[in-house]
Amino acid sequence: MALRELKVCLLGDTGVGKSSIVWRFVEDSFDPNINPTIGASFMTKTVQYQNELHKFLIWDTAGQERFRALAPMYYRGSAAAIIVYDITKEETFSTLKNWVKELRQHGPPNIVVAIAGNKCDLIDVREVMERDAKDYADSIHAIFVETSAKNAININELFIEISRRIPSTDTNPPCGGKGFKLRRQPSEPRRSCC
Amino acid sequence: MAQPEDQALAAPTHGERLVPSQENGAGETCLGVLGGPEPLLRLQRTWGVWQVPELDAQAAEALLELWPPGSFLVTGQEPCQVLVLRTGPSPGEVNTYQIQKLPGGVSLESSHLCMPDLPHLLAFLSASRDVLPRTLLLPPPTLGSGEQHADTLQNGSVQLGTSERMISVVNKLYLETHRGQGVLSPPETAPETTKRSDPAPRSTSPHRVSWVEGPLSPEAPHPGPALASLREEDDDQEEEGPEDVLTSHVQALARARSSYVAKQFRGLQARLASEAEGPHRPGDPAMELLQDVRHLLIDLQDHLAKDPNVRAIFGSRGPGVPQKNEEDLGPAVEAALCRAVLAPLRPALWARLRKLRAPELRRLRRQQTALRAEAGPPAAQGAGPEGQGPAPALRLRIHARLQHLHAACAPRRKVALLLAMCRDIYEGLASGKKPESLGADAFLPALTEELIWSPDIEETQLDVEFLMELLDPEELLGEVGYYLTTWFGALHHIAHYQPEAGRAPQELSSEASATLCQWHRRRTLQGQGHSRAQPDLPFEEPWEIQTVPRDQ
Repeated sequence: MALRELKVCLLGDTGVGKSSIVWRFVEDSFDPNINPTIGASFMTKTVQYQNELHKFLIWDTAGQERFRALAPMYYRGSAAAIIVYDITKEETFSTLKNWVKELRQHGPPNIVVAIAGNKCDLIDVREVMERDAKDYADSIHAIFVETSAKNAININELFIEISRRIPSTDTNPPCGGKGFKLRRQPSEPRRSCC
Repeated sequence: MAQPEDQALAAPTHGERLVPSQENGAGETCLGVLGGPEPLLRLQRTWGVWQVPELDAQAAEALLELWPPGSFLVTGQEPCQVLVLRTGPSPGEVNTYQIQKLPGGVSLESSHLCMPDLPHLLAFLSASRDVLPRTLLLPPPTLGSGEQHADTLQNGSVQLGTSERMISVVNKLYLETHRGQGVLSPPETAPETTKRSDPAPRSTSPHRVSWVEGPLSPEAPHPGPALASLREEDDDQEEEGPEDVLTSHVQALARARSSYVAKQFRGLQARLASEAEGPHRPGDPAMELLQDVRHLLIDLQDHLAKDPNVRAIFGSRGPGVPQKNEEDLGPAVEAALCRAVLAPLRPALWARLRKLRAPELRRLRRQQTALRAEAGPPAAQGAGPEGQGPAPALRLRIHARLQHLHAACAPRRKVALLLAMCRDIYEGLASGKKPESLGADAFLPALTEELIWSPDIEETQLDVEFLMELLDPEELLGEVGYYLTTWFGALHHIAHYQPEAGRAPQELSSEASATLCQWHRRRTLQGQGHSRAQPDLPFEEPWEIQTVPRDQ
């Protein structure tokens, strides 16, 4: 079965629950070794989609305004971007629209855009109507789901939909190495080099 | 260091203690399982290295995390001394053991073994673990075995230099022996503005066996000793393994007159040595230089992997060494290339990079200083421009790792250290928080904060660029790529921070954009034909920058 590595970038204001969504997606799994990563900023999970394995390489970004200029470093080369807003904070939905604009101008061509309205368990304090968000997503041909990282609502569905939207490709063997590889290490190195 | 097998000891009856007799019939000290006085002498000569009374247990544990398993420190004052031992390679594998003062000498708590003094006890524990999970790894000897001195118990000590910018282990015996030969005063530390060509230099004075330079921790002006690794230097005594033979073979090829390796090596060496910039090519000259280094190394790696002699050396194995896989050949050749080719070129390469990057590095340093000033004295505040800093011991550990990062040569080693620092930063953030809340919103400000207070920020910038350019494009999609990008981003944020506006600019600088375009273009070209999301689509340039791809 062919393995495809799909870089997915997470965008959105600080505090909307970007890393909580990913944590829920990656950690809700029976395999304790699924994610041997350092922290919650970069995480991976491999899922089967049709006759392919999709390995999601999920790059989280800092949502603070002062780090906004760094975003192109992260979304460059992404197959998909998940833009997260908080349904209880109208201003996070406004920020989302700015992210969409930026991706359209500067992002990779044909990037799959997914909009996630997080914290849908807090319906009592909702500020962004689901209908409005859905209409906006349709207008830009984006995936739309309302999620709850807390209650594990629509988390897997979000990534399944991304898999569905990613254009399929013919897989070829990798071309010759163009730099230093780190994944394979010599068996039992005697000491560190240099 | 190879650890001797534990010796079988007759178990004493309950309540009894084993007290080895001090002398045998010939009046010689009986060292039991030690088989000789060398471990005891070594411990006596390095007393000030392993005994650090003023260090608390937490700081001792943080230091030991940097050293190999078996490394130890003795902290506290008599009679409340504690042995702190690194028991394994993973973080947190550090145990503490109370040292008891008894009428007959000293003993570890819960042990039936009593020794006349601390060096005797530790020497014994270096050969037989007794109640410990493993034997002790002794500090390297600071003197040749032939030298004698009356006061062997205070030969080494940890000292803070007068400038408060240097911590060193001073060998007092050496000072006594060489009094009046101009080595008594510690070497002057270089002023902030001057740049060293070697990021982790060693003093030529032999009395200075270990040091860390730079502001060690803004929160702790007098932190515990940041000693160099206590790893044994036994390589000369060991038989050469295939890796060493492979390195020697590549070194010989690099020195040979007519070999392909030598021609390539000398070509780059000459280019680095010459003041002329060479044929002008559009784009960033520092990046062009790093690309040339990468091309050279990958070219030599491919060439050597096909060399029958290299394959024969790689295939040879000593007794008890498992059969090697074919897939291990590449990394083994890479390691040999790092030692035999990259290491000798590194000082000249770094000097040239510093020169090419001088304006940007000056700006970065200036901005770092401005951000520190804006934050006020960290010792008073405990936080900087980006928020709360970590515990002093953790920051000390991060700074020590940074020094190792700057001194390392092989990309693999540099990456391992960089990721270890990321773990340290998460550790500092993690206290009482849910792991899912520790995403980029928390990590990037914390990393930026660490870099603001870090020594040698210019070296860090060069290291990050070096890794971004040398690593395989496939690597840059994954975890290593993510954290390298984040370090690059944090450094960019510092370099372009506008204090008066209270923020960084809204767009990337043209240099950063050009750099990213180059890296991405290399990845895109590498990835054509791969299973990628958009394999055949052209890369859309978001910035109007004239850069020419070279990797075609």
